[in-house]
Amino acid sequence: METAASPTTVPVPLISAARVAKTYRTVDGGAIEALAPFDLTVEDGEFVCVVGPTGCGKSTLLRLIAGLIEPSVGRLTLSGKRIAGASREVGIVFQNATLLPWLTVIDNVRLPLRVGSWRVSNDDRVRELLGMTGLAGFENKYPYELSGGMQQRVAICRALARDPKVLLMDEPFGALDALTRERMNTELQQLWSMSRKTVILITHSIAESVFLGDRVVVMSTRPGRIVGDLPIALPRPRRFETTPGEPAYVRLTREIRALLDRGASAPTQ
Amino acid sequence: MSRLDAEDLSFQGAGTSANASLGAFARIVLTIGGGVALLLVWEGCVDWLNVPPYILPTPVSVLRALWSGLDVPLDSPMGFYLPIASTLSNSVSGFAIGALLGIAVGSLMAESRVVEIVLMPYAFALQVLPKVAIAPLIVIWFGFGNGSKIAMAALLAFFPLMVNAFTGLRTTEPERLELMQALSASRLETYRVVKLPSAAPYIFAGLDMGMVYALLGTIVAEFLGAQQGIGVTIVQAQAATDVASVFAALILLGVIGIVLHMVIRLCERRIIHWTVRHKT
Repeated sequence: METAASPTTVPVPLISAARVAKTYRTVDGGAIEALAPFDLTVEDGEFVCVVGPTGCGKSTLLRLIAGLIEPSVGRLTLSGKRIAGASREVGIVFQNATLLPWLTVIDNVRLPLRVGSWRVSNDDRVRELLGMTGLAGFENKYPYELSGGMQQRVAICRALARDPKVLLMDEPFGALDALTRERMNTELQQLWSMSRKTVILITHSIAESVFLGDRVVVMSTRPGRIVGDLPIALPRPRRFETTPGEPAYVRLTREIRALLDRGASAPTQ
Repeated sequence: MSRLDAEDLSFQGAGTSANASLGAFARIVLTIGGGVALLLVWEGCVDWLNVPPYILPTPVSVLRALWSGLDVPLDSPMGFYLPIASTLSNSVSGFAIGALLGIAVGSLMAESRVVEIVLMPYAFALQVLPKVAIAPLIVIWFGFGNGSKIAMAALLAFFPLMVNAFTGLRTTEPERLELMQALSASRLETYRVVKLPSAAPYIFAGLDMGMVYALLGTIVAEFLGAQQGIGVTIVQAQAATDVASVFAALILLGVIGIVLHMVIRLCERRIIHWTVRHKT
């Protein structure tokens, strides 16, 4: 809302990558190209899904945006500023919930508020988040007392604790069973439509990417590169009962699959 | 219908719990019975083969020696209470000092490559050295009082804690470290909030080992010359060929070792509850 109220300035995309690439040095002096040069812009409030096979560098892409690793070349910006190190405007959810087992649910969610020179304890916000994700009443449980889906909900709350602009999710539901995964997708869509965060979600599920995304970025392997960027113009809220039956959904799913297949069979230059 | 269910349940419940308690009961009977049988065979053999008491006393005379040392006022110089108090307080203080130093040095090595490179070879060289052999030096430096016993206990408790703290801190799950990096946590915060709790299971395994070693260190220092302690009691009884008292002192040492081990286990279960419940 606030960003829309400044029409005089030229709108800067929230996240922008220009010819960004990542190459890893190997021990014997060689180089592995994890990500070939790519361009990408993400607008404020957008839900972008990145889909691709294992080893296509999609996790590298996420870690670049999170500031956990630096690009080898190119310019990568967040709100117009070059990304250097982790930013408090970015919350991240890992594939494993990565909760600290010695902390209760509420203390896990509070973690971002008590480290990294962040000394704002905001228990109202923490409790609001727990309420929004259906974790009210579980505040004093330990992670090992929760199911996998519940643990990932706690991880999402933790990622949102500092009220960041961007939520990065690295295959957050990959370890969950299919039914839990669908429910988590529906809940995430609801959470996103309420909070209007910018979400970048990494997945290897085509269904998940089409169900959730405003856009789906398709990546292919060796070296990781972007082979497609499709807008998903399906009406929201999307529902697992009806959305997968819509012709547009079927067409988009097929299109992404074709892109992935072509990427997989392409000869490496 | 509901009453039938309830009856059915209670019957099953009673059946299973009876089975379980019978199993536990049978185990206790077997354990104690086995011990008693062994003692009877021992008693019989000593009697039958006419083994002199300065070689092997009968269980009855061992128990008598044990009782004569326990059935006295707490501050009696003839009783076991003063040696127990001395050995216990020295090994526990030495253990505390050694454990703290071990965790501190292990942490420094885990956190700093330079410290690791400098200390690691020497640490391992000292590790393979039978540390009991250092005891005479310790006695020269710290004298015949409590100092040498505490130092010996600390020295022996130090190594398992240094090694275990180092290993535990270094094996912190990379995802947890990445999380702290994403939160821009400082090095100290990462150590305190993530690494140390992650290493806690290793550290507790080290504490368990270190406690046993500390007791061993104290006894060795007592053997080399001291005024008080269970080690002294053993040496004096040996000099008087009072083998029954030696056995009685060994029983006491065993009990002390078990109690200390159980105290650490109890703390472990309270403090690192997450790993204990994770496994079941």
